[in-house]
Amino acid sequence: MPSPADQTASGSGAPLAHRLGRLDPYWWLVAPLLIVTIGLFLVPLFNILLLSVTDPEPGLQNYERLATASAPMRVFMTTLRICAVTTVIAIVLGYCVAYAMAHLEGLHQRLLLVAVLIPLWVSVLVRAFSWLVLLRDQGPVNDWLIGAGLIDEPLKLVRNELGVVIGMVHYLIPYAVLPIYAVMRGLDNRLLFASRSLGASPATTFFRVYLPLTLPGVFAAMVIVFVFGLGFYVTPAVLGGGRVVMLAESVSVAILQTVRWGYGAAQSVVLLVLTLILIGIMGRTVGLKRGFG
Amino acid sequence: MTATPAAGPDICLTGLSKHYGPFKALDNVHLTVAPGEFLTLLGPSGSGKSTLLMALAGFVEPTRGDITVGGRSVVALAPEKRDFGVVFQGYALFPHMSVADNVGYPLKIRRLPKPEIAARVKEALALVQLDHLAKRNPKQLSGGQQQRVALARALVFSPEILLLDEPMGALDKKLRGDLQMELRQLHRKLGRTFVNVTHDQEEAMAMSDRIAIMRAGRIEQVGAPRDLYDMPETRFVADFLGKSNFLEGRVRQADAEIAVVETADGMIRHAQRGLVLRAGDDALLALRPQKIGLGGDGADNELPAVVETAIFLGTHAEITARTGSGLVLGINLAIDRAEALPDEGTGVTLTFGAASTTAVRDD
Repeated sequence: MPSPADQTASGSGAPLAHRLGRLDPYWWLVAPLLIVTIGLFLVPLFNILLLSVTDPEPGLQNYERLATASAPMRVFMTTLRICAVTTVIAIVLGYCVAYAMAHLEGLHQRLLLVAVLIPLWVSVLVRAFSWLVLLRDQGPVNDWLIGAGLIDEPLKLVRNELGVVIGMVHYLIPYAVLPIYAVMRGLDNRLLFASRSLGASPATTFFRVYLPLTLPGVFAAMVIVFVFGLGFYVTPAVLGGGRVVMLAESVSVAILQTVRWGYGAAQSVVLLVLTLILIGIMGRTVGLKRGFG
Repeated sequence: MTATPAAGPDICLTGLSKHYGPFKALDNVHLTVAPGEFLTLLGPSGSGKSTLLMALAGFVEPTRGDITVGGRSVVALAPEKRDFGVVFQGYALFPHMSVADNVGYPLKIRRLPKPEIAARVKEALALVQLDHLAKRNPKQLSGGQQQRVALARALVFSPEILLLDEPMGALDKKLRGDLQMELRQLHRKLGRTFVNVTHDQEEAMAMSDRIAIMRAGRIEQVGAPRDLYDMPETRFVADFLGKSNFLEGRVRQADAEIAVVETADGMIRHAQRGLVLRAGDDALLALRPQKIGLGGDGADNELPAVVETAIFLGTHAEITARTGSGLVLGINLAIDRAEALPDEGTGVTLTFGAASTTAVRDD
């Protein structure tokens, strides 16, 4: 901080120097990223907004189409349904994994943690095609089920919503596990001891003490998983086999195939707004901070 | 004293051990707690006192030995089947429940009808003078208030035995004193068995009927606070419960009443009580700082020494003095005898009676 004496001495250059001097120098470390983010993300995003009300001609006809036509509504409902189902399954499975991780010790715990994290490093494309191979009619899963005499006809495990859900759950489980695990780790074991000493069985202790106290982690995980799910593109495209169209793919069709950029932009804006609203609602009702903190 | 007549079961620990690999957290502990007694497990950290309490509560499974309550073994019983009230270190109040819900929890678990739960919660909170805070969240309460809620929660289902794990641990000294008195009064009023764990000897002395001093997984000595203080059996107990000076030597002659011990600073006459000294034995004598006087006539023992420090502390004065052999002794002088504190560096004669020393086992 320049002293008042410095300011009067340095004359006309002082106001600018003074203002910059007040800025914490650490900001310079993120300045390049900030500039890139503004230039390459926020400005184009604004362009998309603009595009949605100007292409092919100025007006709200793109949004009108979205609101009235049946196809976009179907895409919209499919997206919400798949995300909801995926979230429920990923949270239930993730809670179990997190519980195991929080109660294992030493090497076992580290092994499980690595097992949860490794899939994050595998490309989503690779994973989608792997599931395609595994789940198709002549794939190993159906072969084994037929070989074991459990079924006669191959099950339709892929190129439908089931396939999309399987692929998405697989991708999203680590995002469900980690916030729940963080809350479980921070829980004071003495609370569980106290519950037992007061006469509660292990099961009662779980439902009356453990579960309520880990719910913030569950809610945080729900927000993350659901919001991630909304924007999924590769997994539904590959595992849905063109029959299950979610919002992101619908945008891609409008941009690349039917070349109606304004319509695609309008869908993007709807997806963005929907996401922000969801984060807002969930953040307000369940207190995101507690889950992430 | 108008104590409720003691009823209920006694607790018996026989040969209780808990091993973690080669580490013996509990090592062959034998202890009996009488019905209605206030017993404190006192010891430094790592002495096994908390492990012992948790074994009683059912959270630590003993490697060997048995715990019986009213003659019935409880070792195989799950914690929730033992019906002991437990106040945990840090209180372990449920943060997602109000004070009233915390206290009502054990009753809800027992499926009592709602009106009865409400009545008993009110009663329990009144017992600890917190009825006005029933709707608060535990986080909004002070440490002392939280402790009382934990107490009310542990007592509301009328357990015959209450286990307390460092109940004053998180409180400041002033508050601790007040709550000690309250807890003691509560114990008198309820007439139930209290087993308390602490590392604070003042707390143990202030509240307990008996104290069990623990060390390295074993019980070193059990007794009433006064007996433990006056008649410690080992160097550890003499040093842990209050301060002690130690005089080492060899017994030169001994009869039923007096033993004469030869130390590096000369012969010391010791009145026999407790551990009996025989001629030729190695002897270790514990001597409380307040049992030593400066000068005076006709004392059984006199030790010449040089004053090293002399500090006036209001209620008493603390002096340290070095004897000819280099042994440094601590002396507490009551203030009426310390009107003129000796200067540091002056020679004095330390005097104490033959009945002032206690023969203890070295360890």
